[in-house]
Parts: sequence; structure tokens; C-alpha cells
Amino acid sequence: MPLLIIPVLLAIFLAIGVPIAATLGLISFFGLWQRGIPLVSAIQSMFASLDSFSLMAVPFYILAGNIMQAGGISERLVRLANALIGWLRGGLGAAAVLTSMIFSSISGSSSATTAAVGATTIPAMAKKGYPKPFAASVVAASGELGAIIPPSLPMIIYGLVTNVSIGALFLAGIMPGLMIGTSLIALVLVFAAFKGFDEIERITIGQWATEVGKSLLHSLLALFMPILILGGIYSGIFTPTEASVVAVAYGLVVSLLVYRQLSLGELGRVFARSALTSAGILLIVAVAAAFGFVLTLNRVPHQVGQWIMSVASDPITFLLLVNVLLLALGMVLETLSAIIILAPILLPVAISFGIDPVHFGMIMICNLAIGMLTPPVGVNLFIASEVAGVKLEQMIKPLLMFLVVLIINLMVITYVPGISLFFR
Amino acid sequence: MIKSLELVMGHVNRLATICAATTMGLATAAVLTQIIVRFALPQLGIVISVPWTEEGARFLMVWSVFLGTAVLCRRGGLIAVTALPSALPFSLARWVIVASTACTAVFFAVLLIVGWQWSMNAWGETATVLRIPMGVIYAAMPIGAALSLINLALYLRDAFSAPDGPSSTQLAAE
Repeated sequence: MPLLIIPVLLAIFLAIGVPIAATLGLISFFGLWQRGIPLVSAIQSMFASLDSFSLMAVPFYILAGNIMQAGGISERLVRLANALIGWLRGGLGAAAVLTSMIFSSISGSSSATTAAVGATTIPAMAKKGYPKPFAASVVAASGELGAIIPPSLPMIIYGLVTNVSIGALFLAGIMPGLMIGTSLIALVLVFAAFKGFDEIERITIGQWATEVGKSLLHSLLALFMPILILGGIYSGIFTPTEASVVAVAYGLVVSLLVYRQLSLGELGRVFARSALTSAGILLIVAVAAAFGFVLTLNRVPHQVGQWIMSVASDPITFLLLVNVLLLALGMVLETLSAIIILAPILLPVAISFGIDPVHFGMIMICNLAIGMLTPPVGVNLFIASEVAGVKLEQMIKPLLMFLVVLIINLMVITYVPGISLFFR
Repeated sequence: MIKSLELVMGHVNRLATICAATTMGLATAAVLTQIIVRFALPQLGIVISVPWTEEGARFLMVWSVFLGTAVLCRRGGLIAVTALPSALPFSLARWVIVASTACTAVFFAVLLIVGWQWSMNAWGETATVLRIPMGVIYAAMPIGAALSLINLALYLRDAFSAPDGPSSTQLAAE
């Protein structure tokens, strides 16, 4: 099969809206059929990749995130973040970013974080005089931390398709996540001071401490969750999959028995919703295994590698090229699909340039996370605009500001490996 | 005829959703059992082993994925890049939807046929721990694909009968 057929078919199928799983499947079947290899080998690779214990962390983290969203944990986190920094000028917006950071440490998905945090913080910001498109942009932008601060679905998928340790990737996400979160908070504070909304609230240290203490007590159980998950993985007690199930069990106990904000009927719907979301993602993972096999058969990774080497001769140019390519693809491809398709192709080239596989994973994930808030395919953007009740077009202007800040962060993360590899 | 098919599939899809959610719940319970047996029980001096949990969880998840996939097909819910069809005027978009749904149907038809042969061949094989025929697990693919195909047909029909395209029925379904 000539090399060009694959990207051309891929582009046509994706453009007319053929689901990603079916697109990858059809190309795989075609590639096998052309070489006279029985199609059953594609079916075999699909089952082999689905039948994996590590992969099960994906559905379990989706389930855990949905349970916590339905169980009232996000409102408690909003209250805590607001008590901590809400009194500043622009404090409510900053608190929304802080809530996203905390929620990200219990949820692995950027769209789930946007939905959970946006539902409570966007209306609150609008009430306090924030321009609605700005409020929606704050939440859409900080939602991307869901994919960067561990646990993270994109990291699990990257780890699985490239055989890089998922635990090491989780650790690598901490510093970039803190850096992005802090810079977003700074942006909100500066913008609020500049535009003059959300006045400073004069409170005494006593008042502050009482409210912080109260809300801390209120959300203590939610805050214990990341310690349980990450602590369990790093102390070597749990595998990432076991940790994800512990997260589900913990979320169930807290929402059903302690907070009592989740009814059994609602719980059934949470399970159904999580099963369907997971099915959509895991089907792509399954078919991608067959697709990867066909790519290797046609020596595509090798040829792409040679082509990249002929264009970029040093790691700096290579990383710039990769970032531009991923930003462009991230606009149309959903994060997990992009990782599944591209990571096995790009990582070998990155390694040959001497780039650490964990660091490269962070670059890919931080880059593709930005794609979640760019049109035409930006799930965070859709969720935030829906919650805020503003049109997508109105969000573009405030969003640009956030995109600039996120891209600067991406560049720093790309060229300073020490940030991602801080906990080595 | 189509009306009754729609009615039947409504029930089938509800059942499939319940099964997908239940298998996911059982998989969670299986891994949880494994954790309890490995970490909590030894503290109490009880040492047993439950080797079936990991294998069981994996098999349950395979079924959950293919049943869930079938349900998603009913409302065009598989992850796709829909920017172009939704930017086009509906009169044009519906033909793009026909083309993409036809491609998707070919994909599921292959899964149905080849997956069926594969699972029929595997009735003799037994799973390492659970000792059940592997065909039972592999059958998830052809069964899910068959349901997906019927659901795709119904989705396509909705795309044509709804006044402003499938998106309006999609909202109604949720």
C-alpha cells in the first residue's frame, strides 16, 4: 500500500464524520486485505488490546469522576477555594481555577472537570459581574488541568500505547499542572484589576480563618482522595488500575453514606453514563491496536521518522515541529484519539533525538489538552458555553488571552524538561 | 414494520444499557474483591486467593464495551469529528451523514462476520482460570456489531424524518 493512501483515507473519513473507531477499522481492514492477510488478525488485535487489566483504569476513573460529580463533591471544593482566595479582586475567578486544580487531582478527564466546576462557578461569577464569556473561558481553560494533573486518562492511554510507566507519567504531571494553574490564576487576577470588576472584599484574618477552617472540614473527605490514589500508587501498594477502583469505592462511600447527596436511582444513571462513555473510548483503543499493526506492516512509523529527521535535524526544531503539528491536529482530533494514533509514531523519533519518553508524553498531553478549548472540536468550549448560555463566537476574544498563556506554558514545558522530570 | 422495529430496539437498547452498566459494576466489584483479599484479609490473618477476579473483570469489560458501542450507535454517539456535517446546510449534511453512516456500517458488518467466525472457532478453547469457553467472551463482538447495525439503520432513518436533522432526535433521546 503506497504510504500516501493512509493519511488521505484518514482525512476523508474523518472529515465526513465517520466515527474514529470505524475510520481506523476500515483502513486496517483495507491494509490487511491488500496484503492478503486474513481479516481475523485485526479482530485478534482488537481483543488482545481490550483484554488488558491496565486499560481498565480508564473506565474506572471515568466512573469515579462521574460519581464524585454527582455526589456533591465539586460544590464543597468550590466553597473551599472561595474561602481561600475568593476575597481578592478577581478572587472568584481565581477560586474557579483553584477548584479545577483540586478537582483534577481526583478526576482524570478535562471535560469532566469543566462540567463539574463550571456548573457551580460560572453562574456565581456572572452574578458577581463577570462578563459571561470571560467566566466561561476561565472554566474551559482551567478544565484542561483535568488531563494534566494526575490522575489523567490521556496519561494512562499514552502509557499503554508506548509502554511508558503510568506512575512516572502521573508524577510528571504535578509540576506542569501547578505551573499552568498558577499562571491562569495570575491572568484572572490581572484581568479583573485591569477591567475593574469583582471588587476586593475586606475581611479580617479571623473571618478568613473561620471560613477556611469550616469549608476545609466540610471537604476533608474529598481532599483525602488524591492522597489515597497517588499515595497508593507511589508507595507501590496499588497498581494504577487498583487505585482507580479504590477511587470508585471511596467516592461511593463518601457520596452515598457520608454526604448522602447521591440517590441509588441516580447512581444507576451514573453507571450507565460511565459505561457508555467508556465504551466509546475503549472501542477506539481496541481498533487502534489493529491500525497500529497495519501501520507497522507498511513501515509507516519508520518512514514518518525518516521524513521528520530530514526536516528537523536537532531536538529544538523537532519539538517545535511536533508542537505545531499537534496544535493543528488537536483542533480537530479529540485528545485520546490523537494520542492513540500519533504517540507510537512520534515517540521513537523523539527518543532518537534523546528526548525522555515521560517528558515527551507531557509535551503531547499539555499540547493536545489545549485542543480541548479550540474550535471546531473543543469539548471544554462546548460545555462551558452551554453552561454559561453564551454563543461560542462570543467566547473567542476572552479565550484568545487564555490560549496565549497556555501556549507560553506549553513552550516552557517543552523546552525545560526539568519541570516534567522534577520528581525523578 | 419500522415502527415496531423501533419499539423493539427501544427495549433492547434499554436492556443493553442496563447490561453494560451492570457488567461494569461487576467488574468494579471483582477488582475490589481482589484488593480486599490481597490487602485487608491478610491483616486479619486470612490468606486466600481469588485468581478469577482479574480475568473476570477483563471479560466483563469486553462485554460492556461492545454493548455500550451498540447503544451509542442509536443516537450517533460514537466519537467522531462532526465539524463539517454540522457546518453544512441540512439538505447537504444529510447526504454526508448517509455516506459516513454507510462507512460505519461496513465496519460493523466486518466485525459481525469475522467476529462471528472467530467466536465460533473459539468454543473449544477455555479461559485459563474461569474455565468457560472463550467463544462466550468473543461473542460480545458479533452480537454488539449486529445491534449496532440495526441501530445505525434507525439513526439514519431519524436523520431523514426529523425536521432539522438527527441532532434534534439526539436531544430527545437524552
